[in-house]
Amino acid sequence: MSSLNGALAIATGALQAEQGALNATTNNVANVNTPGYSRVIPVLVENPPVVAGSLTYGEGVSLQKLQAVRDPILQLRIQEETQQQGQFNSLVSSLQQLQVNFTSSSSDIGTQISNLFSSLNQLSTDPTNLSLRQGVLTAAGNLATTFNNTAQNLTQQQSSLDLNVSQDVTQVNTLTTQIAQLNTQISDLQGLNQDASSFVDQRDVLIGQLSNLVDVSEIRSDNGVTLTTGNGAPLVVGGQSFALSTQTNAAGFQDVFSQGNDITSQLTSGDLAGAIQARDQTIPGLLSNLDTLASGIANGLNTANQGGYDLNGAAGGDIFVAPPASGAGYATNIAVQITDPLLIAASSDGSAGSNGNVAALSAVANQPIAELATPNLNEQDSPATLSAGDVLTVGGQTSVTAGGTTFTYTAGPTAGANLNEVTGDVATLTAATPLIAGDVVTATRGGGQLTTTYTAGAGATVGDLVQAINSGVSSATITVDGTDSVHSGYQGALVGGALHVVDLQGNNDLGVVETGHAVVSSGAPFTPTAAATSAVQDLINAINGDHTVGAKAALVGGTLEITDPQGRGDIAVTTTDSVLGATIAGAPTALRTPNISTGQTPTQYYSNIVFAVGNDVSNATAELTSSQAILQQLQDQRGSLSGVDLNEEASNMVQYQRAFDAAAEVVTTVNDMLYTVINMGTLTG
Amino acid sequence: MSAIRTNPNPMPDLLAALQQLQQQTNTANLELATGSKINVPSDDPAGSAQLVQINALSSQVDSFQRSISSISGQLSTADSTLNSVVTTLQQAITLGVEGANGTLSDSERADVVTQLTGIQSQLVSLANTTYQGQYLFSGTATNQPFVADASAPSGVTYAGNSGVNSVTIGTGYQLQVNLPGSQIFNGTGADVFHSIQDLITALNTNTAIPAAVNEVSSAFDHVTAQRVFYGNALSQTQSQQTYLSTETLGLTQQTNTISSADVAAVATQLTQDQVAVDATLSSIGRTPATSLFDYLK
Repeated sequence: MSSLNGALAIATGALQAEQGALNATTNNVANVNTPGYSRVIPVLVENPPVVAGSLTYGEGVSLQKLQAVRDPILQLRIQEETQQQGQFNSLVSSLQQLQVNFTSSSSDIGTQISNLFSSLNQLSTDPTNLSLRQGVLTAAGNLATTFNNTAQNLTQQQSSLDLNVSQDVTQVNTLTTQIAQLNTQISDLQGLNQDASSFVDQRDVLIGQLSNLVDVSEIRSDNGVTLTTGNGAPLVVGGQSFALSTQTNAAGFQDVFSQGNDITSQLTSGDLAGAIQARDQTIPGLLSNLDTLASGIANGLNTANQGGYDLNGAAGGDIFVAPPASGAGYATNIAVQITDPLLIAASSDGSAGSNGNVAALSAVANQPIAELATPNLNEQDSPATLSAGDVLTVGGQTSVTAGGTTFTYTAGPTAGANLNEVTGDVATLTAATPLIAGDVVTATRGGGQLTTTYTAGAGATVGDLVQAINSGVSSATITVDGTDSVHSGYQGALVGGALHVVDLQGNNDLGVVETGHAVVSSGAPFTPTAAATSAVQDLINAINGDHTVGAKAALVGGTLEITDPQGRGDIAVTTTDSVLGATIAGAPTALRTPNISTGQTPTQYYSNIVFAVGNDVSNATAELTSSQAILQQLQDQRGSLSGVDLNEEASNMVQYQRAFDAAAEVVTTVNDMLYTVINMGTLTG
Repeated sequence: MSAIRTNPNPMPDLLAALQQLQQQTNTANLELATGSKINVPSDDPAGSAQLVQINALSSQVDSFQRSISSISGQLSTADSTLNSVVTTLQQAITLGVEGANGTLSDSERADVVTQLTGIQSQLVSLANTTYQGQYLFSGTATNQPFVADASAPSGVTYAGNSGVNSVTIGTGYQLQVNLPGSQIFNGTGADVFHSIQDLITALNTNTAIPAAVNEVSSAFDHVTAQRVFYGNALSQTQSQQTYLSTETLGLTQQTNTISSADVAAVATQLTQDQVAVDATLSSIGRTPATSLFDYLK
């Protein structure tokens, strides 16, 4: 129906619509410099027409909504690239600090190695000269100090990266809390059918910041955004945030936990992953290389010095404090053993003026650096050794009686035997050996979630126990305590007369077969002979030689340590018999694998370290640069889509103003027409 | 109105470009200042690794050169000492030939003997020559090698040992730097001290003087032959010194090839970067300060 009042209503509606559109422009202009702001465009729609007879009348315009212009896919790409950039940024900045230690200078390790061997060359020209002898000691001291300083710098940086990890986790938690709150606000507003655009923008900014720290997977659903880490640990689900936490690991560093699960090694991008990579891989790798180098030089010179005679005519001793077998921590601790220059064994025959042994000392410069024992182990001190008469105790018992006979220990399987293959090795502790009532074997599986205790009943034998464990069935003579039925994943074996129980069961929900969760105990007490040292060594060899188990073992200061070379956080290290009264109790150890092959001279080895450091920095920098370029391009794309263009806004404003003016003119005209209509009666009357 | 919308805010792009140029300029300046294109390992990882090895080699060459300087003094002292020994033995031979002249009176022979006794102690003193406090001819022992011993037929006993020392003066190049005194002075049938003692006895008794002179003559030949060792060692050190200098030069060239900054190229790059910085800055400066808003009056 057409009427003047109708026309007036259409014009008024137009006024309102244009005013609303102008409001969008105003807001866009106001937020021209707001980070993360997405421009808003008014959505104007034609009102449904009215049909009167054969005529269809338009009903004007209304402002349906103000719509923010954003592309969620682009936003996701930006987040992904931000994570990459965060990781490389963190990695590059820490690596750049690292490589300073390996930059060529008058006091770098390479120069100090050269200086030491030069001083030995000088000594050969006059082996009785005390100042030349002192020169060798000084050069050795300088080399040791340089190793110490370099290793300490690396360790300090490791500590500061560790602090970084804690701070990143705190920041992640702050951000996830804020994002969860925004999720609530957004869904509340959307529930009321209101515009949540400004909150969505804020949330995108926060997710961007979060992406810089940690790898974030984003799932958008009705109740807002769900955020998880790349491997699925929850961060934000709707209005709820899940805080990450940290726990100190055995190496003294913070592991990252989500809901009780250690996710440290599963973080793949973001600043956190970069810091963890440098802290747990790059720096330990470098330290391990330095340890190997320092040990190689020290062992070489010590051996050479022992082969000669000092100025007093006595046989030479160590020049450097002897490194531990694994070399672990040696770069930090290397020191010169002797202070008296007379003790350098220059002489090969005991005569004071002989320089015959200097050639042997100098030859260390051309000797290959040897691979060290159990390089996977973070060894703290020298291995303890057993001697004849030492008693291994089991369950507090030192008795050697088993089945009425005295039990004599002999060495078990040959070195390198596969732990799985030695089942049934009953060389000494025979299957028929009766268990003593009260002997307890405890098996802990998969990080300690399940514990099964086997208690020997009267008349049970070791064979029964092995069978029970391997078959997963309890026998009449073995009582099985605990709620977990005996698992087929356990492997029982007699190794060197000791019973070992190994869990070969994969923890399937991690998708990786977890092995090396060895639990070792003995069914019967026994006394070792002189071969006792090799008893523990046999176990070590058996574990190290078994590639299916994949664990590495070593005796560290009386503690049997078993490491997981895959380097996961949940390295299982377990207990065995008490040695010399000291409980063999394991602690998780950091993975330290030298990434430079041995068999090279000290200088070649060092030059390879320099290459490795330089290459790491150079690769990471290249990755960072490309990541930055991509991110910039993506930001550009986002800007071209969502950024506010003042010219555009000005032209929109003019457009809206004109339309408003026109609508106002219509109102005036309709008003005039109404006036005319109202006055029609007066004119005729 | 469907033209492609461009990013209305070009500032982040321009700033990033500016930062990158700044970085390049800094690197170029560092290269020009240090003259080296490798200032941290990541500048050229492989080159850095090579430099470590070249530095080690050149330090080794330096130490060989220092060793050569140290042993050269010792070798020349030994050589000139043996020269004196030879000259002194020559005098003894002359005196012996003189003493063998049958026309000489007993007192004249006694004079010759007196002179020979002087020569004898001079020879002992030469054989006990030290260099920087170390006896040159004591083998690898550190005590005085030749000591007076009335019970010995030669009147002198060798108290050194038969040890020899070698010094490394090149990669795998070991140079023997001494001969034991016993080898030089106590040759079989050519013992310096024994032959002089025999000559003195012969002159005193006026018997078999020519045979005694021949004995001294043999000792003379023996020491002359032994002296060749020191002459050879000295010439070996000299030629090795020359070789090492060449090697140093070669290593320096290698270092330059690997690490020297190409100054011309870097300077050119620097200029280009500065032009680019200026251009970017001017581009930032010319980003319109006005918008359509300014014309809507």
